[in-house]
Amino acid sequence: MRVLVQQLNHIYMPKTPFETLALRDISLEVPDGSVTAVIGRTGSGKSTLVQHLNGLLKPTSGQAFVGGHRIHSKMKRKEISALRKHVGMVFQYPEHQLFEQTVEKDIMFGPLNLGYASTDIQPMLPGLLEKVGLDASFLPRSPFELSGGQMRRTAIAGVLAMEPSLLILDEPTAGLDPEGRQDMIHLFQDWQQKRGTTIIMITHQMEEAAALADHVIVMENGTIYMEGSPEEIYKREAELKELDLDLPEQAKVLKQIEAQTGITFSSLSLTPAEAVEEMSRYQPGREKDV
Amino acid sequence: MFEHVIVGQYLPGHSFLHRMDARAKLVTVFLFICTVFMVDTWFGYGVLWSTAVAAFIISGVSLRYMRKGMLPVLLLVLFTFLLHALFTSEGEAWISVWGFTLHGGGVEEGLFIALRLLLLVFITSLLTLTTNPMDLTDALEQLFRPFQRFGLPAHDIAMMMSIAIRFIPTLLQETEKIVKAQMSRGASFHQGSLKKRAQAFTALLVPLFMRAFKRAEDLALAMEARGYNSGTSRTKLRKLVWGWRDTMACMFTAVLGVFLILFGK
Repeated sequence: MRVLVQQLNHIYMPKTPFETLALRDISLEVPDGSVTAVIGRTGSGKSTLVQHLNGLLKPTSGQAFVGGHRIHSKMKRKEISALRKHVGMVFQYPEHQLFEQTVEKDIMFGPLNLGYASTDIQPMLPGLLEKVGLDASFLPRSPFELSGGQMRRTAIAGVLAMEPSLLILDEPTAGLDPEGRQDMIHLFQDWQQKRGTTIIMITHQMEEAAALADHVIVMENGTIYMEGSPEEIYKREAELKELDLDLPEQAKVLKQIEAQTGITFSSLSLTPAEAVEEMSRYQPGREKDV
Repeated sequence: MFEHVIVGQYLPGHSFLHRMDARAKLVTVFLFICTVFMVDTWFGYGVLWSTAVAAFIISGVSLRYMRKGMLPVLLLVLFTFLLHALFTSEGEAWISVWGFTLHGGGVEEGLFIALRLLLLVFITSLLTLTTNPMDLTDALEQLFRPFQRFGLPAHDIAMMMSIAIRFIPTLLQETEKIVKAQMSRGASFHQGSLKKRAQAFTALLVPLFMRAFKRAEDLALAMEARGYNSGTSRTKLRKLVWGWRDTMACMFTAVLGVFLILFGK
């Protein structure tokens, strides 16, 4: 689903001493089927921005389009529920939303709310669980006896079961170990490639933005500070540093090699194998000391 | 979503009332309330209300917040007023509708009770609006300390209160997050059949309780890990300081009370 945001402003707690302008004049476009990463430090407005896209927050002024749905300040409840059918949202620590007695019931909560019949959903569940890295044996278990990682997978399955055409992820890997992070990124990558779902992902991790996204939006202070392909963003390292953002590990390594050897890589998002190949094309004589 | 909930209602400020010692404020409010219950003349209420309004103006709190605090009790006040006005048969009868007779004395008594209730809410709202909840619990602990010898666990009570106050915003945040998550999954809290709504609330309450228990456990563990022990006498990070303002305010209220009780008849 294509997302278009036009001059969107959001004021928190208007007309109180606590009034704050959380988003100012945001305009952006997310093409259908693309993956966009939104990064920025805490309080920069990332969560506020994405919560507009499924009607959890209404803009104070300006508007946004998600597919054919228009999001504006005077949206009616009906319009919002129609919008939510197409927009899935995975919050930070999604395992906190589990509440049913069994994994099966919990996953079915969303689709049932959307009006699907349980006989339609049940056959899909084993496949869905496999996609998130679990299996059908989990269905009758209580979500509260699972491990943290399994709980998170269950919760994510609960959102994916609604088959959203726009999937919003708010730091889906927060609190996971490095391996868990990788698994999670692969899960979404895989889902995206098979379904062509449009994904907007908030993250603190440059690595994740680099691994998944075609497009990166950097937010600061309620505005879009810069945007572009991951490659374009890495080039502005000094500015990123100012926002307390870091290059991905692998880009840092490549930069280090560049600095020490004088090699210039064609890109900073090369895989290790590609990097080795580019390095080997350099004549040994021109390298100083590797 | 819950952005309009003002926890503990406290509004930071620098007025005379804000700078008063929380203990002094508690004592003052206590004396004031005692006076309110003793006084039953128009003159007395006039004086008490003017004092309260003067304190409100000094506090610099905007009328909006005061109104917000008063609105919920307004219904109760109205109800009490009607009850007294309709069922007291003193003084001369004014009008009689549907078998109810409105007596002058009843209306007067109803007005008194209504004014008294409103004054109580007004003055306690003023207390919570101008006092940091944490200072308030510290003050309560110190004021209750003399009763410790009779077995009142003053410190534990204060600790429980401050923990409860501390976690209200956290729980509200948590609630907001879960509400949003479940709404994203199509749960509807405001519309749909009763069954659907009940289900939506289960989807909110179960995770909320799970989280609250988890938090309580974590907090208990963290406190124990740092060697917290309620029995030993503890020092405070923030000391309450009693100043000239406090003595003055207490004296003023006490004198006002005595004056009204003696001469307000």
